[in-house]
Amino acid sequence: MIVLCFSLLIANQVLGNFKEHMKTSLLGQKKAVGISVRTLIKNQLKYFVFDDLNDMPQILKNISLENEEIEYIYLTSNTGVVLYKFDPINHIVDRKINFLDELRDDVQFEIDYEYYESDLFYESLVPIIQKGQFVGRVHVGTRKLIIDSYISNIVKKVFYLLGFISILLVPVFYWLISRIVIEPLNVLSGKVKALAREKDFTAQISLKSSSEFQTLAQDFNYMNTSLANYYADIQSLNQNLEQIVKKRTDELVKTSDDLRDKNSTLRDTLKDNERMQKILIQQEKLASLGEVVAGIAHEINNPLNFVINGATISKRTFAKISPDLPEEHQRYIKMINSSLDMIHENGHRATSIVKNMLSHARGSKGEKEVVNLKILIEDYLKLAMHGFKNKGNLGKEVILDKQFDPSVPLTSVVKQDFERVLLNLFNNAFYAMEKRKESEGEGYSPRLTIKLAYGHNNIQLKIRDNGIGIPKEVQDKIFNPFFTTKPSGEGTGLGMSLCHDIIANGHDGEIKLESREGDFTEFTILMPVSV
Amino acid sequence: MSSKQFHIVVVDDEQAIEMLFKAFFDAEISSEEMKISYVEVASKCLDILENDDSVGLILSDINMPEMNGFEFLDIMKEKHPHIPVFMISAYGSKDYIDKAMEKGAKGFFVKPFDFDEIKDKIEEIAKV
Repeated sequence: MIVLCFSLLIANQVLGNFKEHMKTSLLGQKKAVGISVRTLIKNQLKYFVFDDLNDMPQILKNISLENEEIEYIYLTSNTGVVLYKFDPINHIVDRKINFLDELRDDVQFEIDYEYYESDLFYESLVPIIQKGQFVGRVHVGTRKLIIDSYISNIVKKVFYLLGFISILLVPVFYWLISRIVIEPLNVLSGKVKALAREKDFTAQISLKSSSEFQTLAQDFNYMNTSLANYYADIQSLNQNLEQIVKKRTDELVKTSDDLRDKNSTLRDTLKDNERMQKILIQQEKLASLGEVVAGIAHEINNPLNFVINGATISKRTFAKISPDLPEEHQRYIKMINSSLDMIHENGHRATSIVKNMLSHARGSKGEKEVVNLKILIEDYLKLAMHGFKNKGNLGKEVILDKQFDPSVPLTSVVKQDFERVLLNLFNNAFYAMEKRKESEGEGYSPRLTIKLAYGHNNIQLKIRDNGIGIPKEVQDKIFNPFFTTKPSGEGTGLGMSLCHDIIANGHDGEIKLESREGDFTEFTILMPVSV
Repeated sequence: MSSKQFHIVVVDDEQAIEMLFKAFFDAEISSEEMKISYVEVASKCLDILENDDSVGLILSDINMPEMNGFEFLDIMKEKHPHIPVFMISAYGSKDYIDKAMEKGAKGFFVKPFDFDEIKDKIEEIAKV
């Protein structure tokens, strides 16, 4: 584009110069015509006398006809007076021939060609020299327009030519630039892109172009090589890094796993610890309880020893002398004997109470055996019922509601302990129902519900009676050792606390109480199946 | 009953035991046949044993000051293994009984004991 502009500018300048040049040469031509006219006129005349040359106009006319460019011809004297003319269109009207006549001394030289330019004409003025004297002038006028248009024509032609050449040159330039600049740049660009994309640093380029581009190519290649090296370095560093990272990650994972293991171990240990603590506390309670009870029991056994044996010995010793006593003392003998019997009996009674308490407080370190709970429950229910049937007024009235889930599996329990729990619970249930019967009388229908169920690897046993129930303020204390609601002499208060211990510690379960005073009491035992 | 007087030592920190035993055995067994010595501390029993070799049986309590029944049993096992020692104690728990038997006691009477039982045992040993 720029090239085109430039070339146009240059062309313009050139054309301008050319135009001038053309004009000059053209005018030169006109001079030549003027000169030739003068010559012609000279030749026609032997003597150049201006006054009586009547044929001159005709001659002038002929000349102008021969040269169609000539518009007019004037012949003027050395003073400027028009002598002869050929001016059909009358261009020159009252024209003042306004020029200076100059006399040339040296006739050897031709007087310089002069020309006059008006708006419409180029006029060539050719002086006539005769015998070294300036005698007149020949004015040959050619139409400016013709010359101008002639010139313009040529100029136009040249212009078009130049234009055409320029246009032809454009693709040439373009091709040149393309080859020299654009193509190498494209190549370079393409290589750079490929480099970025494929990271092929081995690619080398050569740009067939100017030295600048060759240098560029070299620089590119150099850069490429450098990049290749850097890239290789980075790769190896990367690999190193990856290895290190991998190693660290493995270490971390391993550490993490270790930590996780340790954590779960710790958690298990903590759980165990907590469980142990609970057991220990309970055992301590029970142990100290047991110790206390044992201590009391044994302390009491000592004086009881004296009570019983004292009574025995007294009786025997007395028996030795009593036969010898007089009749009237029989009454006293009987009294003494029965007193001694009473002492002995009650001594024994005290001993059995103590024995009872001892056996209650003693936890059994019994071994587990696989049992069918249903059978165990049935057996001990019968046992408890038997006890109550004989005792109180419940008799056969109690409605037994037994719901045994057939899916309950065999499980292993400490038989002796579990039996004690069952007996205890059943006895308590009967006792509660008996008490309610006492207060409500005939309207009350005692009912005992026993539910044995199995789910989620747990066995559930519910024993529900509709006896007098347990008041709310008492419910929390139910499992406390020595706590009993029975009047003194009827219960040791150890039964429920022992049950709790057996179920919770001996069988890893729990025993819960639900009760409403005057309505019902329900004990729920939950324990996992044990194999 | 053997002609030789059967010597029994009763070791119990309760003085009243002596009275009890006396009351019983005086009526049952003659002093010709049996002599009962009563000591309140086990060490005194060992003193007797040092000088008197006529002791045929020892009845000992367990809970005593200075030396308890178990310690006494240990020493007896060491020094006088041929003399039968029977324990009499208010502490009749299985642990106690087992422990005593392990330490060489020949029997265990739980208080309150039955005198007839003891008497039978004494006669049994005395016959040997």
